[in-house]
Amino acid sequence: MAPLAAAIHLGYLPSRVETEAELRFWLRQALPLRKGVNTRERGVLFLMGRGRQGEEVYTLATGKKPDLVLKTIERFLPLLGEDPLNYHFVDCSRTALQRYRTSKEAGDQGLSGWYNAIGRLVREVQRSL
Amino acid sequence: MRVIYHCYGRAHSSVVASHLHLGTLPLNGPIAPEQIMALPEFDRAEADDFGEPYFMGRDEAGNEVYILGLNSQAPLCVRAILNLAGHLGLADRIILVNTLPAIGLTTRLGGFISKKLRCPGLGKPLAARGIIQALPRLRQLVRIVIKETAGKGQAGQEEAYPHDGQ
Repeated sequence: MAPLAAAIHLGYLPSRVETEAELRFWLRQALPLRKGVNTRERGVLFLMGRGRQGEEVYTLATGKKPDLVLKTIERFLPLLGEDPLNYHFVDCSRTALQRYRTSKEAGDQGLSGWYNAIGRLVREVQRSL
Repeated sequence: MRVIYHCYGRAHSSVVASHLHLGTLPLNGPIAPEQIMALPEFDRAEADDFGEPYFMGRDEAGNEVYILGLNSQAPLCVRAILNLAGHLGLADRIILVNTLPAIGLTTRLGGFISKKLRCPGLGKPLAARGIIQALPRLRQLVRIVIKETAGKGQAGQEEAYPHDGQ
């Protein structure tokens, strides 16, 4: 899910699709993004590119328990001389699921509804920058 | 340089390793279980402290020594910390040392009884006894870390190019 969110953030993919056929068309494109990681790559930050405001976009696979790894990273940022306020961690699985539940109630269902929930999450993140 | 000793809960093996590193426990000679139990951080940390680096002090070379509890997610968290440091160009300024392989079943059992079963009166002395049994391995680990980090602390930073002027 994070690579999809990164692709939307960077503009490789639109933030909203109307139909599942449109979604399938976009997902068939050969995008320069990795799809999924193996177990040994969990915890590795992959730089995907830069957004329009120059922000760096990364993906991070955290496994089933993201809380501890995110907390550890946030606590280590000051030790590495970084301001935690310059970092925005987005738990895609959890947040997109919440967005999907809301959009499902509004009639946006199925795969395209799920995709649009991720797109909505990305737009919120972009607005918050 | 930052030296981070990490274990499951940063309550036992990482605490002792950091004290050995800082010289508040000796690297040679006998240590009594009472000395281990008297360490202020021993058997202290709770689950809320997972992921929080705790500063223990500076060693003779100027390296900062920390302890850290990573629960059962050590490989993932260590990769994340080192990878972040690598992105920031600081991968050679941080070393994470897993102290768990140095300890045996007695300390693990003591830690479990103290922290999970909430019986520190029984678990803490057992964990301390286990640490005494594991002391040769912990000391060996710390000796290697001290050797590897010597000259990389604040005191050694001026000698980044040791061949200058020769």
